[in-house]
Amino acid sequence: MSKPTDLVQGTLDLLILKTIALEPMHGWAIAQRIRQMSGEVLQVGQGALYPALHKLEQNGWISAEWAVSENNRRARYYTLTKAGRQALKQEAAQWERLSAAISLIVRTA
Amino acid sequence: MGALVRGDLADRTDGLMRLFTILRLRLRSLLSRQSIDEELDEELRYHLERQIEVEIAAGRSREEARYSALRSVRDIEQRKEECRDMRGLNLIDNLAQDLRYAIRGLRRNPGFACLAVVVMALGIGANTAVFSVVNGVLLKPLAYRDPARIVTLSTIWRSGAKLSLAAFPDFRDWHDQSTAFSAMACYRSSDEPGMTGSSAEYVHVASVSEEFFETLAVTPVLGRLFSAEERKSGNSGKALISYSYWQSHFGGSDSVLGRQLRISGDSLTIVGVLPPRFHFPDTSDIWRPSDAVDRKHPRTSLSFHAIGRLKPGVSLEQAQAQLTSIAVRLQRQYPNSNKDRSVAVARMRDDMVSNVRLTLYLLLGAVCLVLLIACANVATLLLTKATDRTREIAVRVAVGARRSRIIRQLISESLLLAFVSGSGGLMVAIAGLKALIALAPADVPRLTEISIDGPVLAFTFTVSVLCSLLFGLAPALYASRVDSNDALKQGGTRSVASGRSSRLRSALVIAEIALSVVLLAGAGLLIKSFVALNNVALGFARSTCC
Repeated sequence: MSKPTDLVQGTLDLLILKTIALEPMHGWAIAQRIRQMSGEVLQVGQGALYPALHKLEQNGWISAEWAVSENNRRARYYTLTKAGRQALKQEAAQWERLSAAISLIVRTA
Repeated sequence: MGALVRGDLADRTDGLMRLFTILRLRLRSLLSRQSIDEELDEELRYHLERQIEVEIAAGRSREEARYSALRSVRDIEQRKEECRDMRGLNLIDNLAQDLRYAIRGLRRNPGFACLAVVVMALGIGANTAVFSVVNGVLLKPLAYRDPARIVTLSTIWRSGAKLSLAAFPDFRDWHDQSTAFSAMACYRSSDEPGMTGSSAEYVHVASVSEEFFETLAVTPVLGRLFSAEERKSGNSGKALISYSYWQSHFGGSDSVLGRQLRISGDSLTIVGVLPPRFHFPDTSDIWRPSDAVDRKHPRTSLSFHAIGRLKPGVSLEQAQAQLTSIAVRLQRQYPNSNKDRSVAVARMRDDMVSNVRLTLYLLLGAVCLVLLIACANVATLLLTKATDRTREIAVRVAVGARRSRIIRQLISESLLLAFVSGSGGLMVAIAGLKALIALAPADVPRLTEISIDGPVLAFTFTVSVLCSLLFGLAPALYASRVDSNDALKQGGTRSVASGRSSRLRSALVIAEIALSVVLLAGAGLLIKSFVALNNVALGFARSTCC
């Protein structure tokens, strides 16, 4: 369902980790927040989001818990773990390096 | 610097905690699969509902909203499948499915399954039995403390002759003049008439020198070893008994200490009981200190066995060099008795088993050949079965099964076969081993140490798996390479046994014949040597001699 951009799997992981670094969220809220924070550019579909979430959980970077959500229904909330915080720092640094390098090439006439 | 170190430690504990969390999650994925599936369902449904709400808020009707939301969530099942894949559940599922399929397949052809299992069980069983003999006799270290340090000392002559005996005075000199050993002992043993209470029988009795039990590092389970005076006295009147003798003649009671035995007319008091399964030398049940008569044996009489325990850090070569120089000195000192006489040191286990080593390995090679023949047999059977299944496999390929999945499923059939025959083989081995040990010639050493233990079970397991790969791989590879189009056509199960499969089958049959010929030739040669050995002219008329 993602329109303008196709997100690479690793980048999606980074976005998810960053989004829940601020507060625990359930899958729907994560997708919404990513859409908002990117100015409607990045729209993550169910098909990409949930496999990524489950993989991150299996890696031990995020932990999940059932809780009552804002509309009084049960939803699965994801939180960043300590290892996840570490991973976020590393992935963010990696991304900075990568995007800087690409911009360098693309911008030179 | 301190901060860095502390950080490092914290990292490591974090890493450990993370490992635990991951393990716990994986375990949960495995064990509570159904609840995880339900949770996944609920999670995805929640997302769907929120999506629908958004659509409704944007002005669509409930129906349209639901339709549009569902459309945006293409293939919900596939998403769920991907999630489950991420959780590594699919692998276990597939394996379980393969196993169930394999069991069903075997049950459908019970005749084939029985035949294959019987053939493999015999092959695996024979191998296991022979391997347990090889393991017990050749591979297992001796059951003493630090057994590699125990050595035997044999008398050798310049002519190359060797006798695994020594003269008592020679032993004394070796003992007193060498520094390479932490203990050295000599012993002799024989069957003597013994009487305990009222029962009289022949018992194997060993006369042992002072440091005998130190050399072998044996401690009694009851009572004590001989005291210093008893060892030196030459007429101690004391004895040690074996564990089994204690059980059979004294009922394992604690009152055995102080009781009397009569050995060849001497009355001996029991001062201790030795540990179970210790019967060195040979099958001894009674040990007594070597007596005055033993010590008076002249240098010309080679009647004793000598053993030693190397000091830690001393190599076999160093000990040998030292003893050789002592022997040279003795040659000069006692030219009458010790002319050209020297001493050879060898590790006890090597010495013990050297006479049977080649034979046992040959035997192992032979049963391996038998097993290979059995594998070839089963491979042929499986190949025939595979050609009958081309249609079924073609259907599966058409429905979308990957080739690797089909191969894996066929291999799991072979694995199942192998495990069942492995278990059958174990039972064959247990029975066969008893027969083997009973039939073994008397001079096979360490017979009592042969049993079906850990290494033997590991061997059986490995052999079963290897065999299943051996006879399963070729048919599986062949069968999975099916051209769906051909196989699904009307005359489906005609001999798609085209050139390829019949060539494979011929190859297998040829291999079997070749191996059988090798075995037969080997057996024939061995029988011939055996007959020739038996008929060797002994130089005296046996019938009038003994």
